[in-house]
Amino acid sequence: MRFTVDRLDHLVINTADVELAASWYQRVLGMEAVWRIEVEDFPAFIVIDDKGNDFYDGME
Amino acid sequence: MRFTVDRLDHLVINTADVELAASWYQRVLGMEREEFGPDNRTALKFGGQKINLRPHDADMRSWFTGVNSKPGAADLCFVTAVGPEDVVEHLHDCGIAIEAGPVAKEGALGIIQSVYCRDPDGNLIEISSYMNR
Repeated sequence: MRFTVDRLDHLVINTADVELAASWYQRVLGMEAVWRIEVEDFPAFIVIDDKGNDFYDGME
Repeated sequence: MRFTVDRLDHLVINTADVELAASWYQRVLGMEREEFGPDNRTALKFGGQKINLRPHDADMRSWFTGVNSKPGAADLCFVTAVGPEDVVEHLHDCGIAIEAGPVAKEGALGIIQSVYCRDPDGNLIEISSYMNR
């Protein structure tokens, strides 16, 4: 059977300022910061749209 | 009315070698290659989305992109219908080194099992399975 991928689940944007970027994506593109996660003392937002597209993966 | 975006249509990967990248995405992720537009740009189609491959040294006027166009900056997670063991076996069959996984992660729609590898430019590629669907 041929291996395929069906869709993009999420992508990671490396940012100089998580707060600034998160507020931009919320304000300009209407995304929602659905939960905030702490990874090794580094704050990050996970932002999704209403289809579940996730634009932050929390610097994993 | 609140403005929203609905979905990602395509994304652009800046690459050091379009041919090498295209063949990797075809061979490893099962995408279909397509040339498009007057400049014969290369796209890789999967599901209802695609990746456009941009030579990293392309002219900003002929093909503009983000302010950082270095190859290897992307970090992408793709969903597959098969389970993580099949992803591991497929990557082994392709001769691709696994960076991590299978490991449980938070996907956009819930818990996923993810296997990580790198494409020829060093982009981090996460291949994920939703176990409950």
